[in-house]
Amino acid sequence: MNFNSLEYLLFLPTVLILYFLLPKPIKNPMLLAASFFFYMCWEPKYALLMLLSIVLTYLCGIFTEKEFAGRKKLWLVLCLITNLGILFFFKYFNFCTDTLSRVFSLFGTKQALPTLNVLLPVGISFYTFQALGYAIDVYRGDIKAEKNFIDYALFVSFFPQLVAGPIERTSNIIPQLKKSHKFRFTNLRDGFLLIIWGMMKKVLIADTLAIVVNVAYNDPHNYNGIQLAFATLCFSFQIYCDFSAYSDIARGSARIMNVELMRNFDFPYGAQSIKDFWRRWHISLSTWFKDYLYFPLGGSRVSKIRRCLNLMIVFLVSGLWHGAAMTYVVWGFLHGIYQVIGMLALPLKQKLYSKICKDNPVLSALRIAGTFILVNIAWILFRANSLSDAFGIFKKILLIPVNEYKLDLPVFGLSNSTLFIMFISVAVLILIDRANRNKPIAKIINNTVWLKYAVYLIILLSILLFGYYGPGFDPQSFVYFQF
Amino acid sequence: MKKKIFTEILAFVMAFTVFISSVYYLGYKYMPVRMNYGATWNMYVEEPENTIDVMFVGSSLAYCDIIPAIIYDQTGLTSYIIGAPNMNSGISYYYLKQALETQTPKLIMLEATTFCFPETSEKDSKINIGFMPWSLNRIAATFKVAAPKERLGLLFPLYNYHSRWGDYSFNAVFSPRADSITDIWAGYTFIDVTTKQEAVKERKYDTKGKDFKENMKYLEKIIKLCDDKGIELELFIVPSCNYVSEETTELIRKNAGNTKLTRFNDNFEDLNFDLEKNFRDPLHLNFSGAEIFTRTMAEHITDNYSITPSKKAPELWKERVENYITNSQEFEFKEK
Repeated sequence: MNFNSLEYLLFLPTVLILYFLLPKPIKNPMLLAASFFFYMCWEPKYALLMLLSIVLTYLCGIFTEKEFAGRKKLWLVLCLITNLGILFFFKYFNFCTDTLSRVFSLFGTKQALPTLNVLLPVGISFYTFQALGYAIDVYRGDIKAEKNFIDYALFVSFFPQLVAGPIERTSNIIPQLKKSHKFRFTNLRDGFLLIIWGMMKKVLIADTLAIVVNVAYNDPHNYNGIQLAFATLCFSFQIYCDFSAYSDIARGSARIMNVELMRNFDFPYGAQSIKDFWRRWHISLSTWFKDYLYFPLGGSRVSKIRRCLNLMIVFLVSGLWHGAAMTYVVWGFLHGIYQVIGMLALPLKQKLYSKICKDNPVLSALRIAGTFILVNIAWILFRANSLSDAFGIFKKILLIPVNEYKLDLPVFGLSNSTLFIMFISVAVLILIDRANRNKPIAKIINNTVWLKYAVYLIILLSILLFGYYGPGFDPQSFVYFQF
Repeated sequence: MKKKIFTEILAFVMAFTVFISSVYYLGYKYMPVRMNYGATWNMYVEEPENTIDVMFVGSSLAYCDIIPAIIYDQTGLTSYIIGAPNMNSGISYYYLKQALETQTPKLIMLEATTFCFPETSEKDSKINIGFMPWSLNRIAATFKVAAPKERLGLLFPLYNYHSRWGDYSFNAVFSPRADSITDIWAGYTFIDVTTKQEAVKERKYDTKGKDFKENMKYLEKIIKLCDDKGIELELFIVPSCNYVSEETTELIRKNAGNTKLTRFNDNFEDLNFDLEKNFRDPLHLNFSGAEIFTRTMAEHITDNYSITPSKKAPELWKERVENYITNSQEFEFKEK
């Protein structure tokens, strides 16, 4: 069940009505049942896999806390091995055998390794990381093990953030789930605005941009450098709108139930460095890696070389988390390199900035533009269907100054009016995102009755009029579902 | 506090009203202009009320084969064709019910091949139901005839047509639709294409499946509807080179009870069709073929029914006859 489907439009109000009508003891069991139903709409049998992960981490959490059989670490290791084992089996097994086969073929040996014909369970990376975060927190003594199985199972499977995050922390969610929430108009209002804003980003912007991106990236040989650069630019906004839309709809859906999920994006394309970008992009994953991988590796309190190595490890793992393909690994590697260079060049940069006023708007604009270009270069690897495609695209884009290319937008199959709406929408999105950093726009909108309804109207009509939906359209799944 | 709640409710109601109105207005505006090949409801509703003496109902076999202007010219009877592509009996029933909201014909001539058509396809529903005026009949047709997955687009036309926004300028959105005019052909679709027919042969229809049974249920409903309204009903099957078999005709006749059924293929020889010139394809007549058949149909009506022409909207009908004569004089065959 996609957020941008009619089924969800029926599912969410039904769950909300039940949630507010049912007495407190039944609220969470109902939410748990609804969450499993939501998940089973994709592939019912994979709900068993999620249940297995929930049961394992739940028991390991209790055993770790009680140091059952006098082995605290054993239970954590067991939890990590089983959860990561399941993740590896479904997500990385074929990737590993394929990579090994390639390595063998490099040495002239043709070794047929077994491959699995299984579908990747939706959201497995998200709920596995959420569950692992819980197990580590219990091991560290940061939180107490959750005794109530229903509450714990709901924490892992809470439908708004189940399949594409935000990857939540136990300390944030479980206390909220334990409270009894009454219906509040302000929550409905705030949540509704987040949901329709997310829908607009997905249906109007991301899915329209996806047409350009898919056309160019699925057949890059037929497009010139400028067209591929344009498609990459489109992809940067497609993936942002797509992913942040999911987070917005998730946050909005939870907000109506008075559950506050963490903010996953903070105007990432306004970042002034790659480090800054990762503070604003997929915040829940970045902080997860920081807390559960980077810090345990020593973080920044180690030698410079070790710190560089730690950064590379984190970003390689991040790349691999995104997908079992070399393109993602190289994408992670490139971001690692960016970070390492950024860290090594920091003293030089600080020296330079001390000479120029740090708040110089021209300097800020240049830094934003530079970061945006670096991120876009990396997006080529993220989106390309293979490494050879990615390098072909790089080559064509690099040759733009040499060859006289024309953009020729109609080749992407979109009308001029659609392209115009697309540009306007992206411009509005950037302006709102930027303004949102200084003052929460939603608060301003929601506090003025007439403005609020005018905004609702504009957003809803824009979605219905210009959105990518209906017969003859192929509704795009959220990009991050595949991870 | 009370004032705040009142403002909130007022703003919500206003926003909701504007939203719903915009959704339906834009859905209506972005629907393609439809001026022939059936489902021309926007034109039908422009017809002066209670001016039609004879109502023809049927699929393309009706709206391609009968020219109301000839009937008027020959008998003084005003007539109109209500039809839609591949129209099955469910659609025929709701079309008839809807058409009778604004017209009170004395005779209904229903083309009976409609009882042989299977379930309405997705494409046909979009046209056949999608162009009906908003009414209980449209809602009923949506839920009883269209497949479940088509209902959303039929209830919210913007769902089907929103991608057409780029074809309309801002001014066009607020201008009247091009098909919001009276139909100069009174439901007929002008066809100047000719294909030479080699032979006249029987066409097989499935009369054993559930679709035929469903069609017979609607036949009963149509008969009852006409009875209730006190309107005479006759079933007829147009002449064609792929004619409905005697066996199927008998089956329909049996289910029709006392309602008359005329199969014009029984007198095919007498109609003197030129197989080289009068057909668009094995099923449909072209303009010249429709001229021949309509004259026979006009005679059939005057021979069998004593209907006094209402003589309403004479200017409109004069214009229609002139239009027919002009087209008849300028008619040229186009070989397919």
